[in-house]
Amino acid sequence: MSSPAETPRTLGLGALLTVAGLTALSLVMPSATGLHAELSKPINLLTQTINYSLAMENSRGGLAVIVDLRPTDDRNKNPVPDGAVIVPEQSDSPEWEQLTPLLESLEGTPVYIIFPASGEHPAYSKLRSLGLDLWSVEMPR
Amino acid sequence: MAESDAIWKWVLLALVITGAITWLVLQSASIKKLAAGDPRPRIFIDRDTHDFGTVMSGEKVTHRFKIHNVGDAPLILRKISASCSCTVPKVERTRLPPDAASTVEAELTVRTGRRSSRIYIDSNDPDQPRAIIQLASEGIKTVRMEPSGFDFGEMRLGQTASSTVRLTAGDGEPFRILTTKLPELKGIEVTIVARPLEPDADGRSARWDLALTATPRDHLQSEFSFTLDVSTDHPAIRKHKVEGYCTLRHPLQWIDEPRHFLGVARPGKNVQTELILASDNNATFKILETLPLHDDAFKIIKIEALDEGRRHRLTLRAEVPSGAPQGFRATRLRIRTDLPVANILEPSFSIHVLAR
Repeated sequence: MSSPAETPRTLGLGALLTVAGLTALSLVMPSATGLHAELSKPINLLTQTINYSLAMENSRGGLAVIVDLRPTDDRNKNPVPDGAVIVPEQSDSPEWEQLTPLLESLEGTPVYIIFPASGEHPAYSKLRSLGLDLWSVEMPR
Repeated sequence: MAESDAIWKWVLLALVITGAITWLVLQSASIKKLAAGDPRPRIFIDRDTHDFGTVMSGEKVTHRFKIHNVGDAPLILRKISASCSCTVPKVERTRLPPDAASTVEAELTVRTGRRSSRIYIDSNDPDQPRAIIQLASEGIKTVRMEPSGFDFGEMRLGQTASSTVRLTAGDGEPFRILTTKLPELKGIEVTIVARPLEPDADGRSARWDLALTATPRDHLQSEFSFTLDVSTDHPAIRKHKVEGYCTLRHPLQWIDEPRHFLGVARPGKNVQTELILASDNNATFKILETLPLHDDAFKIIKIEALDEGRRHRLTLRAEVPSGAPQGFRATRLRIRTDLPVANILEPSFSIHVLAR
């Protein structure tokens, strides 16, 4: 039996150990079980990346074309200075028909994509299917 | 505070002790029941494993297992289940008096490769509450194709190319190809020849070569994908499909792969580029018409015949109006020639208008 003087110390130690154990579990279990919520990250499967300033410079020089996939609010707050191609969100939108000659003409020209800060633009998979030379723009923080 | 902590400590201790006592009581009760020497059922399975050997993939095979009750109390088969959806067990009767027998029929849909699956029989046998039956099989593909389909790659008009696919029966049994059928392919002539390899006296063989010869005659589309339907007298290969693919090169080609995005232009300014168009088979041709289909800002302003008309230099100009807004402009340009086939080409061109 522990003496009365020792009890608070033992309890404190037990509480500390419990907190440490729970903290370790909270760190290990999500990745071990996959049962955890995660903030949506930008979907970017491109291996080619380009710095924002260089992308703007190449676009202004007529060497490349920028496609802006960000939501309208983000585009309005921080627009691409020299303009960018905006594509419809729905893959079956009639606007794609109007964009077809432009997208066809971009074969062989680097196409820089500005991705949404989070999530995926529904048109991205359609863009990928066109066989263009796609690059991801690294946006300044 | 210390007093309340001590109370909780005792409560926890009491819970642990109560749990331990309950477990001990339950254990001793079950030991007592088993040790009593009462009549009990006993399950016994005759040969509880079966190997179906080599079978065509997809084929359904069955085997019956005999289950006996060798105990002295009724045996009740409570649940029969399988480790995989490929196995379907069916039991004849679920209640077996002492010395009685029943059968479990196992139906297995064979999958490719060496596979095994299990049937679980849950019963009231206290010594063996779950008996296991093991099944094994080696599934082979009904037919092997080498390569996996016809591939002609890129073809030119008038060019004849062949592609051969070898069909081999998975079980090595000789067979005969009865029919081969292709859908109608517009603008392309196709012949099919099926040849048996080392045929027997009846013309049957376990290996057949399917040779497809194709000659594109018209450029109605740039890609062809088709399916050849084959029927045979092999019981496992009654019908078989072989996919095929080819791309057709346009008889008019741009020299040096020019960029069709013409770069940037300011309003009121022009951008100009030169493009050379050549016939793919060295034929002479004339350009009869050039027409922008979406945007009149793009115009062919000059056409110059080179190499006695086998090639043509076209000067394309994009004229940006002075009030043009910032953005992109693009068009398809119809170029009509006097070539007898594929006389129209519709490339796209674009420009980036910078207003600032």
